[in-house]
Amino acid sequence: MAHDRHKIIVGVDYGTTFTGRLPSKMLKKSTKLVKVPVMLAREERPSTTSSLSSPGLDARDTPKPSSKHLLESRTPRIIMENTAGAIRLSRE
Amino acid sequence: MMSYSWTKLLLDRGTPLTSYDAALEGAASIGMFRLPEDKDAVQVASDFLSGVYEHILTTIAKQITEEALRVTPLEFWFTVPAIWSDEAKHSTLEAARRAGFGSRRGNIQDTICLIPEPEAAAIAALRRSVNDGLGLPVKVKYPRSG
Repeated sequence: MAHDRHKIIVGVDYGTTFTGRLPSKMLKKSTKLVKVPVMLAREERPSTTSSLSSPGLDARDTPKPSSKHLLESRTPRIIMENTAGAIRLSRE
Repeated sequence: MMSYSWTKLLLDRGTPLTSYDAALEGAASIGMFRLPEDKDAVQVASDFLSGVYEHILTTIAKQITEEALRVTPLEFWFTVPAIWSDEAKHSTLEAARRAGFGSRRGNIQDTICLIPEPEAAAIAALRRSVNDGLGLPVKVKYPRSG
């Protein structure tokens, strides 16, 4: 898998429950991992959606892509989809 | 053991909790939305997200192998409430960065992005329609006039 042609898009929709430990662990009894799709996308052209790399994050530069833009620019590049990415936490 | 819940909303310090939902005022009165003495909201969210991050990497590695994951950039999209201020968005990004998102070593560069919750929901709902061309019906409801 060539890193210059592929990337994995991960959506994170979360809530927090802090147990008081360092670092806190997810409370398995009170949270439930929900399966959501993990999309593996091919970079066929330079991304036109601005994004923030981890160093020097600045919310003032936070991208605000429109739904239309995301649908047009990202969806066609999805070449494989898996469903085992459990990245959303919900309370039971 | 003390637990703290709904801490995510405390990332937006500039907005009163009751601005989201009147019911939250009642939740606050019964002890929710509190913080440990030695941590702020960003650190609590970061501690929580570190577990999420670990789980994401483990899950993806199981699917595509660790070798493939090592050379594949990850693009993380965090949802945030639509009414959040820039400061709250910055706090979210800071919490994600502290949790390890976007910090993998090597020649790859992971990225962290934000997207408003309703926009993410709309994209998720419409994605299948766009992908397979089945054309799932979308019902648009207009407010009554007059």
